[in-house]
Amino acid sequence: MPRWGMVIDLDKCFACQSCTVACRMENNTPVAGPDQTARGRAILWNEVLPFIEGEYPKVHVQLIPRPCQMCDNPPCIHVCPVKATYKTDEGIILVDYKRCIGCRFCAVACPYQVRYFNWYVPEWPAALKAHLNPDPEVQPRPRGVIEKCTFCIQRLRKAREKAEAEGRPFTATDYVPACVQTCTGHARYFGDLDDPNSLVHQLAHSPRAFRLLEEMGTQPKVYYLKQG
Amino acid sequence: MAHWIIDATGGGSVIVAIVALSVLAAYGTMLRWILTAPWPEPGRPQGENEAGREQV
Amino acid sequence: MDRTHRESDLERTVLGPLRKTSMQFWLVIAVLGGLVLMGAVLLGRQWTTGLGVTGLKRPIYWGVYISNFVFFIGISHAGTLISAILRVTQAEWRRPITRIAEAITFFALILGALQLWIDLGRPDRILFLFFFGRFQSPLLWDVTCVTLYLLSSTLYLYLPMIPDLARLRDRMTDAPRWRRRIYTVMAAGWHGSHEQHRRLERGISIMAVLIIPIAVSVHTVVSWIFGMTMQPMWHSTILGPYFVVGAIFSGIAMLFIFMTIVRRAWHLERWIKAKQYDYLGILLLVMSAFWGYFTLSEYLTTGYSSLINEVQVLLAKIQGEYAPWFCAMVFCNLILPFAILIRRKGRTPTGAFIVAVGVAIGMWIERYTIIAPSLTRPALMARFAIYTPTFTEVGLTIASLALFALLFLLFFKLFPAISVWEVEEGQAVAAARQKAEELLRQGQLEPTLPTP
Repeated sequence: MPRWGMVIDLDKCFACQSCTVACRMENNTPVAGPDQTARGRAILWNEVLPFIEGEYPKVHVQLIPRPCQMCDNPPCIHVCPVKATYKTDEGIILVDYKRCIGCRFCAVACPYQVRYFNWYVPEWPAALKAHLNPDPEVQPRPRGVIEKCTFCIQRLRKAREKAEAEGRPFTATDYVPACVQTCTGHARYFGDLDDPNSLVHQLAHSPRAFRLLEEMGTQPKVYYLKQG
Repeated sequence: MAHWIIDATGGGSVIVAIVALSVLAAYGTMLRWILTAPWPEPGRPQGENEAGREQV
Repeated sequence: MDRTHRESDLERTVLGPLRKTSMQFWLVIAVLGGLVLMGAVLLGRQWTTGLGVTGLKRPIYWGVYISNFVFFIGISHAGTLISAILRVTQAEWRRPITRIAEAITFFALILGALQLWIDLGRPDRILFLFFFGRFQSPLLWDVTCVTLYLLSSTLYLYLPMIPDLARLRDRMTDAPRWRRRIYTVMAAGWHGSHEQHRRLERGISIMAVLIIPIAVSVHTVVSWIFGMTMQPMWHSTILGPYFVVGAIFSGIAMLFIFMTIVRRAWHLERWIKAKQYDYLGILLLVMSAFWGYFTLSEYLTTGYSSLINEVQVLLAKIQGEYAPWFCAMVFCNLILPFAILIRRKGRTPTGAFIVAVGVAIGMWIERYTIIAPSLTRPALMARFAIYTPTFTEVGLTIASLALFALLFLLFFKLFPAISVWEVEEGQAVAAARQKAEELLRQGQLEPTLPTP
């Protein structure tokens, strides 16, 4: 069974935000609008975080694209009171929108802030609304529940269905999330971390590899390759 | 072990139900025990609060 | 029925407010009712449009509502401490104030549970907590403990009320029918025989002992909602006992506030006396010292380290945007109680009331400054977030306090604010003791204990 993971090469990332946009179109995240965004209500399953260190003239900006870290030891799942968030056998963490009671405990427990709450009924401008992704997994979420990056779980299902229709076995290379597919600088790699021959496995063991807040013991499956 | 018990009992709902019901039963029993205390002289009407009190 | 009974002084003063209601009382009820109505409108708006009407945002997912939750659960400890601990230790002075304390516990718990419901994004799914509960989640520990505490404190409020209810059933013959029916049903055929009294005392003793660990568990698991996450300044072992101490502290303050109000409005000055204010004032002072000790331990331990995530939350509290809150908290919880209550002259109803209002405010701020600053500065955050509560949150807080006061006042319009039979028992005990001392002095009674 694959253990899905991602590697992001910070040397190649130039923060074009195309991952963020691709994610939005793939996963039907609502448009919060400038006013709500300024109030911290935007829903961005993938976000490019600017970490600014130092002061002018010695400023260092570290841009880190941040999807869900898909922890192997996820703090969000430990605290959910109703089993609305869970980990699949392949290590992907999902939310059951029909079960979530909106207590936001998982959002508070996640040290990476990857969990987003539906403050209002989700809305889109008319032009965007006509182009919503019809996949059942990404139907617009109801008001009052938590949502988050799923590594485009609908693409995994479709890849499996396609392999089956073509009468061949499904392989890990059949499936990538939208952010990986779209990445302009080819900075993102995706695949089975348990397969020693996979690119993600090898990159994850590179001396440049690190994970966010590794000291917390969450064991993320998203690796970063150090800049420089 | 603890995880196994929790999972086997429907994520703990069963544990909560058992605890709540047994507590309710215990409290109910106690209340009944208090309220059904015998009147010292059988045949005297109920509701004579003060008469009962003076014996305390 | 004994219609020739002559009412004692105690009965007359305590049952008086149940018979006659002043215009002022209805005016207060109307104001409180109006506030509750405003809260209902705000809550209706929140439920129809979403939690967007609050100031909550990413990453400050919890704010005023959760602070209110902790606050109300905290003040529910008034009943436990005063009533249970003092009952177990047989402190005689507790008798006139136990009923008020137990009622605070009961209503505060209801209000506390209500806050969690208000905070839910999907209030329609609240029962999922029972159907699909996951015991690994600290939130379910809360649900379990609060439910257990509510059941136990309901019984603990009800048991000592039974003899008084029987008395109301027998005395309040001129009350409206519905009220007499309530008294009759709730008195549950109490006849007050010797054996029944013996069993009642036994039951109350069991409940008094049982409710202390339950109360401690409740506030500990409330703190563990925070302590079990890895947020800076939450993930600390001190949180459990710190919350318990804070709960008892704010509980005594709330008891002071309500017993002073009831004492004035119900004219119970002759029964709730200087002694209660004196002793309870000392207790409040002790809890204030405990609270200060815990606060110092927590802040010094954090501040002495160089763990950047922890320290930046600490700095937000002592010199950042939460500094005014922090200073207000220290003033209300530490400086004010010591300034006024340290001298016996200060431990008067007025002095105690002022301190108690201060401590209630200070302890609310304490809950708020534990919850909000940590969330504004999570471990991985590009920029600090700022949380400003909206009118909805403030309004619902005021409405909740109003509902609390409303339920409390209506309750004591229906039932006596002082446990009549327990005070009578106290009088009997005091009289017997006095008589024994007199006999002893006259040499008619042999002391059973060797005199030192």
